[in-house]
Amino acid sequence: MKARVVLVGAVAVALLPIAYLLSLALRPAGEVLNSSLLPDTVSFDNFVKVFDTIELGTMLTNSWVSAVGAAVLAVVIATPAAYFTARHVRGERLLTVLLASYCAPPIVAIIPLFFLLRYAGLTNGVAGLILVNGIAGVPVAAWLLDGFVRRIPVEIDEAAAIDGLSVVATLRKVVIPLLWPGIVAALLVTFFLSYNDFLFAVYLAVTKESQTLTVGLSLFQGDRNVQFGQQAAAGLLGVAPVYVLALAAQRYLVGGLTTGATK
Amino acid sequence: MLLVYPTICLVALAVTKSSLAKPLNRFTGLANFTGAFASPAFTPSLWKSTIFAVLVAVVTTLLGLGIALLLRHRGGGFGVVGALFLLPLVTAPVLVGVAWKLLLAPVGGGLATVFKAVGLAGFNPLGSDVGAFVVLVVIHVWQWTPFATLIAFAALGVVRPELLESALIDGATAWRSFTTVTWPAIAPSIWAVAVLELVIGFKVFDLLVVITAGGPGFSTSLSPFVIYQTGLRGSFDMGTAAAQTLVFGLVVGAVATVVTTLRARALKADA
Amino acid sequence: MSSPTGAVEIAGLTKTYDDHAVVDDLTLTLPDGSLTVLVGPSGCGKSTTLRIVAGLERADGGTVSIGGRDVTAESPRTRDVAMVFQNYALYPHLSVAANIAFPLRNNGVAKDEATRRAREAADRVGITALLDRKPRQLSGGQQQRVAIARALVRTPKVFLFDEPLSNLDAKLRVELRSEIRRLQQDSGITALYVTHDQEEAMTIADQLVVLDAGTIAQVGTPEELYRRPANTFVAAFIGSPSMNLLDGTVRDGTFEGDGVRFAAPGADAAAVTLGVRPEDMLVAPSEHGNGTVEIVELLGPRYVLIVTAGAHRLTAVVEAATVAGWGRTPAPGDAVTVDVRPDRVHLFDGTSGRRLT
Repeated sequence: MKARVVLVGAVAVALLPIAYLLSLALRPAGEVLNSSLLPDTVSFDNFVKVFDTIELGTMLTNSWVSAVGAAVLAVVIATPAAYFTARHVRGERLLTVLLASYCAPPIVAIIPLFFLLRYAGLTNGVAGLILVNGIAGVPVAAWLLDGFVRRIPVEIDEAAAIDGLSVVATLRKVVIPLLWPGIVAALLVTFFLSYNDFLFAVYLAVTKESQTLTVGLSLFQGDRNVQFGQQAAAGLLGVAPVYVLALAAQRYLVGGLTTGATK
Repeated sequence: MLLVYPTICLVALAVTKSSLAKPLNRFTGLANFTGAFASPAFTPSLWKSTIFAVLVAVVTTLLGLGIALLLRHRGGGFGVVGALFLLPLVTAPVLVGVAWKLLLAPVGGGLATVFKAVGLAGFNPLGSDVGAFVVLVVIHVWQWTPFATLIAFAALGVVRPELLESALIDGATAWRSFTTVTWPAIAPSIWAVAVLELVIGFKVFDLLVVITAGGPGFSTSLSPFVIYQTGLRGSFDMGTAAAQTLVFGLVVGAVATVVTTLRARALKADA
Repeated sequence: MSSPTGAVEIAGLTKTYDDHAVVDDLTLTLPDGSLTVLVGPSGCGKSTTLRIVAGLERADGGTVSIGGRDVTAESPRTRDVAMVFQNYALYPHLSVAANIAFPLRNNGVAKDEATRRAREAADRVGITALLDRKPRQLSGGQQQRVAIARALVRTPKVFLFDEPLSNLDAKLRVELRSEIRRLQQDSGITALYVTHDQEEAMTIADQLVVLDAGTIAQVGTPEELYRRPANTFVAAFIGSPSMNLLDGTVRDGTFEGDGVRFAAPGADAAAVTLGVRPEDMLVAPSEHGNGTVEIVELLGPRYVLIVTAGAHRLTAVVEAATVAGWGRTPAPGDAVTVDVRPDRVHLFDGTSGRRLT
């Protein structure tokens, strides 16, 4: 069927650069510019050397810690916020404001944030990144979770109230267990956004100990003798687990967006 | 509360002479603003950013919708195929930049042999002004179409199957079915995607730094990049950078408002 | 206005889902201009059969012919059929008039002509006043009328109805079903109608088909199925309240089973199911009766009595006039005699359920 052919073609286009990265990583340094999509000789050298060239280990740790931390922070803030926006009449407005703040290019906030963090002594550290990425991720997480909360019938809240539960207790004992798929979706999305962040990381964490993967990869650029093979290797090492996550989680992502899209 | 503080800070910086080392040094009124416009890179960058954002928004939305329709047509859920589509989206921009740059390198690049085969030996898109801009558009579209596809796919799931069946029985062609049944149901979501892609298009930064560094010349110096240059490179002139940021913010807001109004108008007309 | 070539032939139709035959080698003829009703419990394959005739689903085996032409491989668009769905399937963004005119516009009819014919169709179902409204502004009954008008506006070879009245309340159902019947007869177009409501099926069908797990249990006029059900499945399905079915044996003209004895015609048989409709039961108060009243339900002109006799719970319908003759209203616990009219008894084979007499 024609549709299949087009789809296969589209997937091929989508994956070509990524496959090329793999091919780059698998070839010795001299063959990077061999004018071909495939390596002439396959070698795993790059994957080993890369740990010497840059502090890949540290960077990976930084990236993962800050991304996980940011995801958790964002969801922790967003969940009660989403509960409010979904259940209360005035909540709609709050949601719009949150989304609007997300729409502003981060460049806008970089300068003031830099000063703020410097003042608080949080620059060049994972903590600062967690804070910034976390708060930046709240609008997205809240938007996703809002859709999920709306799916839970109000009657459940009412039953809890009749059973004598306070709002906080209702949230904790009744709503959150039902919200679980949405929370997973929100965690995943904010994780992806934070992990791949470059803007915040490049401004706010410049020392060797605090750099994340994204910044580290860009370091390969400055040199005259760019080690593309290693860069590709480093990149793939960093991104492979994320790919696995994405593949495994696509169900949750689609589910999360379906609830939002029924608006 | 997250909006207010940065905004105040920005305004404060914008009206003073500030540098990275010494912020809020001296009050200078609107001098920074005039300085901002005077910079040869800034005003053109506003145009470039707008063109870029509108272009990618249109292309990603239409492409995304098309692919989503194909995915739906073949039946089943988003599935592995869909997940494979997502990979460009979750790949770090730095890697994306490296991969594409090397693919397109005129000498020794991954696609060099392919180019030669189609008679375009030595094709170097990144070397020319227009070429670099187009490449940037292509790469951004490559990365962000999956996002539009994901949302369009979810939106298509809400279309009632019996309406499509009824249309089929009533003799509607595929196009007729689409305009009468499918489009009215998904229009709000598709417009929402278009607006989001527009905003994301304005925010392009990572790709710029990695792939073209604003060049060749200024051809791909979009506003976020120019602001970055002003404030955190070169003269470290935070004041001017802040002023530029405010102006840019206004432009984004203006374009976004235009699109949102268009959207409201279109949705009302449909209903 | 009738189309003389609208007869439908279904031959050997089969459809399987997950190794399970939803439609199993079904063969059926729909005479031109008739209204055939497919009826049966959930999952019996009636909707699937209808959808295969419509072309919305592909059969795994067998053929469908409309007007003498084999349409088995064709898309719904070219089959020239019209369909009314259970949940109306009206296009929410079009006005009522545009909804009705939609099929015409798709076939290239000019706008003015289409609007005129839409108006005509709307008149015939009584919704002319609603032409400018949107579907969401209409009640369920009105929406269904729009759906019917949309089917009527063309003159297709076949009308298909997929449980069109199931979403409406009881009163509307009774009202609309006779309207549908009238419209179908006036138009002379062959119709296939699916419902799970046996009363609806009985009142409108020219030809009634009872489906049981993908196969035809019986085909015939409603009267035939009522008076001479071919097996216990049809016997229990048609008629409300349901026919009483008792297992037992027949010897020397007497049926005996689990504590009751009735006179019954027919040869001796070791395993037999006796069927008797509640309206054919004879119940009378008696001191030394063989049954006890359990439940009494008053339905206006008649009573429904649930009576225990032997090991059986039997349903009996008694006219109010008869009860009046008893002098007092029956109450739970009363002793009664339970008997049956021997000429109204149905005998089925005890194992196969097939009719014996």
